[in-house]
Amino acid sequence: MSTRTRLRSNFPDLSGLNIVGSACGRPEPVPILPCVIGEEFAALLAAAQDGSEAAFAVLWRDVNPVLLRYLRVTAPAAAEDIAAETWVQVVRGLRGFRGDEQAWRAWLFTAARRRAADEGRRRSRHPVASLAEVRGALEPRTEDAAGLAMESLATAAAIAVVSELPTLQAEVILLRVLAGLDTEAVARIVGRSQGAVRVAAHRGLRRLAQTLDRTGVTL
Amino acid sequence: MPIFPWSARGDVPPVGDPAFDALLAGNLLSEDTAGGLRLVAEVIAALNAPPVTSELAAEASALRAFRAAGRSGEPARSGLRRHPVLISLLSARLAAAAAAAAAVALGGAAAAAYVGALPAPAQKLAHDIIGAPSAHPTAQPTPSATGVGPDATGPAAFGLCTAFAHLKAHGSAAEQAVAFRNLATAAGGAAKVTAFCAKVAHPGTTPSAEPTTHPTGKPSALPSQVPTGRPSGKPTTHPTGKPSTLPSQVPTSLPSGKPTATP
Repeated sequence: MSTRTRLRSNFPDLSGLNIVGSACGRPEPVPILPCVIGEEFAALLAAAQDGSEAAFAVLWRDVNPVLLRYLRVTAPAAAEDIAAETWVQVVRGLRGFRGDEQAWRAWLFTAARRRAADEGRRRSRHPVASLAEVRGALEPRTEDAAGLAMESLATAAAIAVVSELPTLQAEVILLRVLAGLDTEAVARIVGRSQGAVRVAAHRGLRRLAQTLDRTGVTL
Repeated sequence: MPIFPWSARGDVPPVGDPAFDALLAGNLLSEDTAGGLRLVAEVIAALNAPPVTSELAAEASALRAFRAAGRSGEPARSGLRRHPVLISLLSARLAAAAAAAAAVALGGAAAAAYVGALPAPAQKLAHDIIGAPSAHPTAQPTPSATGVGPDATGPAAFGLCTAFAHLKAHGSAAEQAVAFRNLATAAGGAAKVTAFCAKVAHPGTTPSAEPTTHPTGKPSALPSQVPTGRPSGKPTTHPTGKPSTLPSQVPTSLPSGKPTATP
């Protein structure tokens, strides 16, 4: 693979996009942010707090991949370790947690971010190296190898291209579009005003658009 | 509106454009959005692609951490009654927890040992010495009694009989009711509790058919402190909670053979 970022056309045509998700209460048009727990979150949380492993497993499966992808950008050398340590902290405080799904994710990402800061954040600035590193960690399942390989490569490419952004811009974009947090929550997590968060996000998106535009796209 | 080709150049909005807000909010762009933003939207969609195997590989260790945190004894929420659907899902776990709580509350560590609810090292000791059930890794001795009471048809039966007999001498009517209710259900009626308990095997030994003596027969593993049956209904000593003194807590009122009064 060349140093250029390649995005394959296995994405659904955007005009007919219909990614399923309960959307966490977001309005139409069809969102591109999955929010897979939605209405059942409160019941799942209560069950997990009462000791149900099955409920906790659902909560974990919903957010751990998201956490990992965030950490691959912000702390690529230690993503799995930081994620595991974050969960250890979270299960200890689980019974004291009160909040909706957004607050739950905010808690998780706040904890992960602090741990990443503690261990010293290192971010690769070389797209080739980071792409290879990320691609090695994302292995497709075997049932639909071709399709899923495309998906995982696309995810790896997306992570690589976001990794090129300045730290704050990358973080803010990920917390908004990957973790699904609103501006207020993101502002609290990164310790900036909402206005600063919005500016950083917009700058990051603009830079992304320019990068993708510059490096070209092959279908 | 024309469909912009994928490779359209330029048309990247300035910072602050509402199209960015739409992207950040996770909303689909309208068809007349510039090509540059379409690519950004594709990146966002790729970030949200379904998880791959490696991203779910750590589930087992996460569940281990979850179980370990549960055993550390933090108080549980009392919100279960607001979710009746979940009660059936959790009933198995609750029965174990309630058995532990009731056993500890009603009969001291002795009954707790017999329902297998002591912490693992103590349970193993009880298992080795007196034949109590061996340590179960998922037992949760958290005292979160819900009033349900232990299931008397299972291994908790002996502990219940023990505890119930102790309660008849020392306990309140309410405490008797909890233990008695499930015993009566398991025995098939209030009048049959005595006979039921007489037949309940001491865990680790074979059942005895003699209701007039120690209801568990004569387990050879017990130390020599086994009391003989006494009609007074009072145990010789109050249970101290140590496994080595367990035999002193054996019920003595059951051998009378009379139907017990319902609470």
